[in-house]
Amino acid sequence: MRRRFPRAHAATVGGRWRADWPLLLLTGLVVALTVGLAAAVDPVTERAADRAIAAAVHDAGASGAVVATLPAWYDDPRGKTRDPSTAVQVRQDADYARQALPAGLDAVLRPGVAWVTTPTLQVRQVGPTKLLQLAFVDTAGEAPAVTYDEGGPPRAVPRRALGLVEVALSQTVADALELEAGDRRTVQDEQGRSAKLRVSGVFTPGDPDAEAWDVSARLLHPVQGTADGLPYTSAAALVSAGSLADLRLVLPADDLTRRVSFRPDPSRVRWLAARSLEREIVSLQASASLSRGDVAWDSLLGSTLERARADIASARGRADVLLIGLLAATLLVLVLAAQLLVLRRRDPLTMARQRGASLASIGLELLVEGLTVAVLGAVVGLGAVVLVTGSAGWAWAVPVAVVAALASPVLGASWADVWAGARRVPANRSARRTATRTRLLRRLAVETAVLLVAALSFSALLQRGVAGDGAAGGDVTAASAPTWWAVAGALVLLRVLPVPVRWALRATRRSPGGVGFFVAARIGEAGARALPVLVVVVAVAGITLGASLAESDRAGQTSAALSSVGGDARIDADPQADLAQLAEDAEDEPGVDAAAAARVEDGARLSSGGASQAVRLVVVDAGDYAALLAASNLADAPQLGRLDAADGDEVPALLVGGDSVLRDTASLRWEDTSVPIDVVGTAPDVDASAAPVLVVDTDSFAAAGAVALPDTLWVVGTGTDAALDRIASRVDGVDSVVRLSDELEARRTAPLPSALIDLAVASSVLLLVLGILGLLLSAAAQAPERARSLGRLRALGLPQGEVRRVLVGELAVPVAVAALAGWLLGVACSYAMLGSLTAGSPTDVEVSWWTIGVVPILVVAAVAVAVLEWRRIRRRPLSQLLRT
Amino acid sequence: MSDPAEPLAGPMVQVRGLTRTYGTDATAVPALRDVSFDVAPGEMVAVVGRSGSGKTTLLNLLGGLDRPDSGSVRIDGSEVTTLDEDGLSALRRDSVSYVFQTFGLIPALTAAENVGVPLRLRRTPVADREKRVELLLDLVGLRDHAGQRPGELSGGQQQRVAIARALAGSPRLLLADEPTGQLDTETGLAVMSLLRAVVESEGVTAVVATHDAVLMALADRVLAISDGRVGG
Ligand SMILES: Nc1ncnc2c1ncn2[C@@H]1O[C@H](COP(=O)(O)OP(=O)(O)OP(=O)(O)O)[C@@H](O)[C@H]1O
Ligand SMILES: [Mg+2]
Repeated sequence: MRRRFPRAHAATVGGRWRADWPLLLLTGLVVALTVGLAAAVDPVTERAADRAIAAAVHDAGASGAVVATLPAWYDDPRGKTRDPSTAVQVRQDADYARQALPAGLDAVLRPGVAWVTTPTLQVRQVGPTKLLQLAFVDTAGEAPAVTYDEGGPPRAVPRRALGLVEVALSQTVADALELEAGDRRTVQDEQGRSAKLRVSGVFTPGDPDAEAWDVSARLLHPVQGTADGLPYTSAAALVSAGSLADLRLVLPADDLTRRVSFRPDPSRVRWLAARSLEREIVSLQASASLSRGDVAWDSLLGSTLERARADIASARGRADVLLIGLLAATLLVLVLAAQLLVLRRRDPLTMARQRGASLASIGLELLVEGLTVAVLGAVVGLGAVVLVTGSAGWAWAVPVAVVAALASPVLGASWADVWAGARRVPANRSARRTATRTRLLRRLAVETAVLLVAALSFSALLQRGVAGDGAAGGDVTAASAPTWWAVAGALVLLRVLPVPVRWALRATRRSPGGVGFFVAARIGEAGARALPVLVVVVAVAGITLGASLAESDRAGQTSAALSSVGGDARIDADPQADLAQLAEDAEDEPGVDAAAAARVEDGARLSSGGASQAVRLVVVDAGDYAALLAASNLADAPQLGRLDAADGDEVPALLVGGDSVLRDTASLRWEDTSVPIDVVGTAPDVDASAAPVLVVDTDSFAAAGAVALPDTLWVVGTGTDAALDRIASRVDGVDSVVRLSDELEARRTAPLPSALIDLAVASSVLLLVLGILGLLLSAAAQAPERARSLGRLRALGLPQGEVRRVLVGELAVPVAVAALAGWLLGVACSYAMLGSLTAGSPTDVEVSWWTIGVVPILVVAAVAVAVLEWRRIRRRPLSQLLRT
Repeated sequence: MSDPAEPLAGPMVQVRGLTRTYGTDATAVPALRDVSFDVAPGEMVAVVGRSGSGKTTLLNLLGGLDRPDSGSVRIDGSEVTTLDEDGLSALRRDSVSYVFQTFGLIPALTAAENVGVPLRLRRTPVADREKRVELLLDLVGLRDHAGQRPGELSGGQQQRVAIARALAGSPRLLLADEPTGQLDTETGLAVMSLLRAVVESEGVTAVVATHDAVLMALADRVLAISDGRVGG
């Protein structure tokens, strides 16, 4: 006997809400969670992107500055007079340059630093070569902050001493040049034009990292080396506002370069504004070339921003991959929830339809309810995001809310129609056949369409990647490829599943007993439902791909960090520092597996025939280097053995990258000599960003008359850090100790990688929850049908214990199969797509096999659901089960 | 349940003072009130009565699908109402079988496999099972449809498969609740005649609920039920 359909409409709705509130609440929660997550994507992306841009701008340092080169001063051919306002003019010119900046750049650039510099001048004296550049620096009308240890700041010289220029030296420069306050020297340029200098004082910089020092690193750090076989020291000296007028007087205008450098303030450069900044820089650079005699602009900031934006776009694209998987699983779960809701109301809906309620009115009632839940859920989700992040993105929230609102009215109306018998199965056989054929064709059409979209999105991924054009979102078509693969795979699975079920039936047909047979029969009857299979497949595939993506990213970070360090640690030092000895000391330390000292010189010129190319030259003991590479995770290089065999005059070398003309024999320019090189093999590809790299053996190199003292020490071994703590201080001239752990930490904690890992973890957890939820909802939806079907078997005498086993098998086997298929699809997607998805190199693709662990988790969940359901069935008398 | 030593002299079904009330107090619906009757072995009894008179309730109590508030049901001399779940399973597996109004076949199985289900539950050896299935399909005239699934059979054919299935386990008592309820009159009559014939050939006792007067005529005896009481 069925419950009567109450007349009062409001009472019906209220009553149903009371009955179904847990389901409606669940739907609302899923909507809230997904809408929240989707809405958070844009603000979180923006925030992470802003941080990434800021980090990139910060890391670019002085090279990120926008530099204006001002036209050369004009020298009156009738003779020059001393102009005391020279420094003021420099400041005014800087202000003028500032005003020429477009508004966007103006907003992100710090106050300009104005420079006037001379070329490198040679100090006229006997003994080792001493080179000196003179520089005037003005930061917003101020000289750089220094404290004078000796003497004082340079001043304008009195009229009788005209022709003299006062300069100040930093302590390190004074030491390197062996000068002190009061010393006088004459310097000359390449044309032989000379100036007399007097050292007014020796200073220590207030802040060595201040922008003012960007003008020349040699103001604080003199460089020593050898040229044409002779040692030289190159440094720079500071000119003051007072002495600038004197300098202007003694050197011709074409010897004085005037620049204004504007460094960007990292915290003011916004991701969303980066692209227009790039355009402003391009047009700024172009404008100067158009009008002669005007300020010329130059900056690497544009390419820094472009690179950072490309990184962000690729990260966003990868985030989209994860989010689309999550969104797909959520939509499926929402449809499952709606299905359950409608099934629970089967009786009242059927009756309403039978009593003549129109489908529209049935749908409307469900729509009001669905809309309420969807809107409430969306408002909660959006509200939470706005509260936390201050803003929210709408685009992704819309499909979730729409599906949540529409699923139950659409399902309700169409099913009520079927249940009410309006669409009876046609009695006539041929009509029935036509109906079946239509259904099959429709299914085939859907399957074909999905496969087609999967193929198209995959080819989009391979061709374009997921980065998109770098605007707000990535390339959604390409980013959806893995999800489409999962959906297509699920459809294929649904197609082929009847085959193993038939096998299982055949295999168990000849057994006397029943459980396996009944399980197969039940799965054949009801097990392979599309929605739950889809949810599980999409969820597990998404988890596997997400984990693989995260692991590949981490592997990429590890190998990139290792490449850039070159071992577990690297010491950068002066060639004067005795790194060869330090290498030997390091090898004696416990926990150190290998150490190799090398000279690493970027920009060495290698030429062959007419061609010439800048290479990174690595001069290293071949045996030590081979041992180092073997002890580390870096690629081994068996060809290093070929370097020892010096054959004639040519130095054997290994080369990686570079033009093919360079292979074979070439000559290398090293200081003043030309070293003949015989390329005998391929150099180890340690740091792909440094290619081309030429590796030669220290002894062979020395035998050819070229001396290259080591300036780099690589150390490998678990005890490296501790060992370096003990021994690094034994030599002077160590500039820095770069540790792999620090380098890796820096890469891991960078804004984009860490945000992406967080997202991968969050989406995996959510996908697992959604997978289990999908399993629960579909089990609940089919529970009455299953109870009836099992009731019949019970009525035929199937004992309770076996009922439970049939139930467990019926629920767990399809879940296991779908989860396994999802995992396989995830693995396949990882192999096929990670090469186009990962930030690292394709060789860093790591497939997360361990996500197979999700399969037993879902199976256990299914078994738990089965046992709970069995408990409920067992309590209900059979008479009731059979009556329904 | 079956003790060969026990004489078969007594009734196959003995019902005494059977009472079943649904719900409690205010909403209580007395579906059966103090019903008592006997059914002799090999007898085919038609239970007739208007809708809501208690036919289904009675049959459910006879087959142990439901429990009475009071009274006793003895099948072949053993008390049914005191059996536990396992006892009832065993009872249904070995002694009592059902034919449902909605056939209750398993859609994924062929006709032959559906008929074999009770034999599987009894773990009958495969060869014996197949022989028996073939025999029963022959008996209900579906030898040529053995490999078809329920979806590929007509309603009458499905019910004939259900009857074959009910007889497969050689039960002593066959309960059928409106077995022709879903069939048109002609098919219903054919199915009922078949039921009558096979019950006779298999020597089974049968209790059939129906409200079709034509079908009543096929029964050995008619048990009229109204408002939960048995009269005549
Ligand atoms: N689960 C139940 N809860 C409450 N009342 C019930 C329940 N099942 C049956 N009834 C009531 O018990 C009475 C007998 O029902 P039963 O199904 O046995 O009648 P029936 O003779 O089989 O009717 P029909 O010919 O329509 O099948 C009816 O009044 C019915 O409303
Ligand atoms: Mg009935």
